[in-house]
Amino acid sequence: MSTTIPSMKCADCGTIHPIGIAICPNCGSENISEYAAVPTGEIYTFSVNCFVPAGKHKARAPYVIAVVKTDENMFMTAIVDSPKPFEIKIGDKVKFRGYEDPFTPIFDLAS
Amino acid sequence: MREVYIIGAHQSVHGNRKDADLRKLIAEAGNPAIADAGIDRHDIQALYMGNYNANQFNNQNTLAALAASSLGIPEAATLRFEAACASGGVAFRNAMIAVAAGVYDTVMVMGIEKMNIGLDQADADSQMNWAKSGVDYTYESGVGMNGATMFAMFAHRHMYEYGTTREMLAISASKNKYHGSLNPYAYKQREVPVDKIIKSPLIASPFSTQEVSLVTDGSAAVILTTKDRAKALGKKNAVKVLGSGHGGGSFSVAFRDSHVRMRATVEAANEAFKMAGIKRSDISVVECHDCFSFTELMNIEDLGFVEKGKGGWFAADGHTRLGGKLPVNTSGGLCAKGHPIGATGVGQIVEMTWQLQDKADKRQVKDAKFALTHVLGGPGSISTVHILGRGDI
Ligand SMILES: [Zn+2]
Repeated sequence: MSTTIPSMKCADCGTIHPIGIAICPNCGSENISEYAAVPTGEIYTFSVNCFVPAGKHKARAPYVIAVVKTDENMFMTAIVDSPKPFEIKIGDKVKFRGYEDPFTPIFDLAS
Repeated sequence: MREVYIIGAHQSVHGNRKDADLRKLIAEAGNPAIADAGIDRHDIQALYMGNYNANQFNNQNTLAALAASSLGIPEAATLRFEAACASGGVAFRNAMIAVAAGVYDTVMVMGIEKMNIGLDQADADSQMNWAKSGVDYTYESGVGMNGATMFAMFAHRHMYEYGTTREMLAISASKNKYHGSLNPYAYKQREVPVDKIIKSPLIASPFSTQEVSLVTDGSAAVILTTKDRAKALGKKNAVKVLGSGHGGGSFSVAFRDSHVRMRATVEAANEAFKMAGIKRSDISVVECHDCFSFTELMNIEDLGFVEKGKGGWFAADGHTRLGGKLPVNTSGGLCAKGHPIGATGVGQIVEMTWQLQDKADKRQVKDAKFALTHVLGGPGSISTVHILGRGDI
């Protein structure tokens, strides 16, 4: 488990966004810099991706893609790794594990 | 602004059109639309094309110029519009603006997509990536998010907040399969009962394989002109473009202000109704962007026909079915007629033009007076809404 989520914080509006973003999607400011965000949050919404005919996630299907809302109100699209993807619900607590590659953030169920 | 009229409309048969290359699809929509308009093809001053991704699907860029040349009007001013699934709607809107502004008197709007590509031509991974290149590559595409999972996330949040049920989604999809069964231009012309939809394999929960827009080859074309010109041509059934709206919303799904409503749709609808000067209750028939079963339920709320959260109940009560209070997607929509991405927005205009000309055959809504079309693209960040009225010439 990662102790923080590498992310970006906007100095102008205070919102937090995924790592590397050059311009704040909330206010358009470039006054945005790296920030260590709290790693805990909940599933805001999700889907179980069942049809993956090719690509790097083929062996993972069926798997959960979610919009995660962290305890600091950062919203990010990520994979939630669960052995029972069809039991996932909105509101389930999650904890950041890390980036599997630069485009694939992974969370685990927190309990 | 000048008043703008639709004087010609046609579309290809939608499907897995192994028999048709791009030029054949151009011809199948373009030539009958010109014949319907009753004009000399050289009267067309500009051709605006809705197309999402021929540059990858078909190794062909600059499709508007290809279309004009293929139709024997190489002199026409051409431009391709890419706005993902909203491409056709955006092309139509800009053609309308050009005629209204007096830049052109006669414009053809065409939409095309040829998406069924054999594995001998491109591997499955490439094809999957081309189809989802309209989503945020850096922050969302990498986890495997595509149109299905994205709209599925909206569906789950809507079910959570408003109690919309799995069955309501399937009822709406089954209704569109029924409408498609009446449409000789539809990809799938077969009814599918609600229980079969629910029992079909999942593609992205909660959607089964029967609730997703179809990978489709198809084309559609309409011809726009001024009132004076429509009158001079004696086009008594010319359909009037009463309102147009073009709304926006966050490109990235995670950064969005809502996951139960599409801001782009709300804004496009408000703009179009304001321009048209009519009420929601005046609309007789709707073609909206049902890329997945749930999307239609959200659309009828965002368009202002139903209170937020009540779309599922409205559909379950049968109001969106032919014969109901507000028939929606009489063509069968994206899940039955099909979703040739760039053609979809133009095809909707064709269907609604036919409704307002009493030419919709078994799908005809009696005495349809005003019709509305709606597309949503990239991924929910772009929407256009158009309001059409029966001819008054
Ligand atoms: Zn900011």
